[in-house]
Amino acid sequence: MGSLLIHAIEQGLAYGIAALGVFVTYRVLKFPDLTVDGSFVTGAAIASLLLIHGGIDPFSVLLLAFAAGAVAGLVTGILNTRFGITNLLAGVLTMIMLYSINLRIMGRPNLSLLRIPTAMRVIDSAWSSLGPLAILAFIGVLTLGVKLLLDVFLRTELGFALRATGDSEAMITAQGVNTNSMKLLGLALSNGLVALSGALVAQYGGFADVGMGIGTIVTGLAAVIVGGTLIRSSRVGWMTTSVLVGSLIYRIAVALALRYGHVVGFQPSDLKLITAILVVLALVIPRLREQRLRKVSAC
Amino acid sequence: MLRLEGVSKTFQTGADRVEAIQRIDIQLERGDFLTIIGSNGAGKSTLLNLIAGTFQPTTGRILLGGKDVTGQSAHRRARRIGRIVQDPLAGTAPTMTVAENLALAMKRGGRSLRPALPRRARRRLRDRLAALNVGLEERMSCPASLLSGGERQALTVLMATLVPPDVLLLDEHTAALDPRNGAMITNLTRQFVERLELTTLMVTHNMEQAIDVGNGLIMMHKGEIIHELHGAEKQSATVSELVDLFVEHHVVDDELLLERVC
Repeated sequence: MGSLLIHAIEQGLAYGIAALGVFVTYRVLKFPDLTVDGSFVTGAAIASLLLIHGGIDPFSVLLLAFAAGAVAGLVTGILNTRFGITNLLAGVLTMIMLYSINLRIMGRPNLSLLRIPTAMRVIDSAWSSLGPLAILAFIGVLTLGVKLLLDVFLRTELGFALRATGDSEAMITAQGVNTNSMKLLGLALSNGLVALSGALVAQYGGFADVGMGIGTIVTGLAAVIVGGTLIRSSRVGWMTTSVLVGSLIYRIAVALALRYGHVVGFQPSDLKLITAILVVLALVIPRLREQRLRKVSAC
Repeated sequence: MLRLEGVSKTFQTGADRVEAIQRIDIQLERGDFLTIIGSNGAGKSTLLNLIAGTFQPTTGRILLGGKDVTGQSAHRRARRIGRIVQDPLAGTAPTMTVAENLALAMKRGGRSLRPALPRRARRRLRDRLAALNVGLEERMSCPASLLSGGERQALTVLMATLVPPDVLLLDEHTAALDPRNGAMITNLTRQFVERLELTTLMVTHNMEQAIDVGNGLIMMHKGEIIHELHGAEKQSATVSELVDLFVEHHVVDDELLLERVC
């Protein structure tokens, strides 16, 4: 049970960076971006390739993965802002392109990191005094660092302009900001974070797989929505905290469902269905409640 | 300060052609305050959109401070043009706080990686808010979505003038408010415009306001300026004279008829 919880927390934090990426597009920019299902794998693929053949250290590959994801985000942004393709379709198109590109990067559908000095293995021996908690500490420090950097960015003039672009394009245009540039910036940042998360998860799990990104948008949304329901705040620091809390809760729930789900007849393959249904409920329930309130107040 | 030379705008959707603005010339000096009235569809908002750069003119030139800005994008022009629209919801970022909204307005144009709302800026903004006299200085950490329409529009007026623009565009910015708040915003606008000597264009449906405020008035119909009043001529004008002018030009509009009956 103890190790189950530790693993769930480790995953919650590692996937939490992807959830922060989804938060940037979905919550801040109000741009539902499906690119993430592809860019997550791109991060994992680039990291694995560079670790196996590039001889690059396992921490620098995280930054390179971020850069690759940012480029993927820019593609979606250009399709949307420059060519006027709707946001959902632009994301889907890039995601499909990335499927082929990810296969090209990896050369085959699956890359194993067996016997490769991943970040986890390096940390495990470097921080051996922490024992079984070394990996947790490393992922925790990394995720928290990313969160704090994101907080700082969202409090800069550029960060404010990004938030205002999601809120009211007409208003921030009237303040002299090019909203198209802001969308490009937000999409690059978001997909960079998602790819960074993919690179981390690949090193954590010891492999990269072309299908590992399926549902990144949905699990990201689950974290954003669950966290946002528990912690309601319009302060940047609390909002990003809520996303990480949401991600942790989601991963712990998944771990419990996988361990004990068979009791109520769940199979591991039901996971994505259940997750999606949870997100649907989380989106629909507040709306139903609102409608009911409106009916009452209309009487 | 602002010059429009033979500006026209034609909208074309399929086989339909709408000549929204037809060869309009306007010249405003620094501190001039022009009010614009006209029936629905007269092209008043289109005119402001052309000046702001939301639309580009089909023909003609727009000069700002002697410089040709025709073809320049809206966000680029916004460095020198402030704008307030009718919908109080459109002028502020609803999920951002009062202070954060104001911080957005501390700069026109390019943004950097500097902190957007440092502590000393917060103090300065508090003083500016207090000067509005609507109590917003006590609610700086409140999201803008929780403000009333009047409070939001007061905030928008402050935002549009925090860095004084060369030209201020007001597009029926009091029309969505109740009479008391509308009067409050009109007063506030007048204070800012006079103190900062802003060159201003204001579209309004309220003829009394159009006569009362500013030093020039134009009447538009079907994309053309059909009448102009300036200086003393404008000061002495009455609502019924304006209605007569509309009737003379065969402008029929429900609101006009109401003005006449009332």
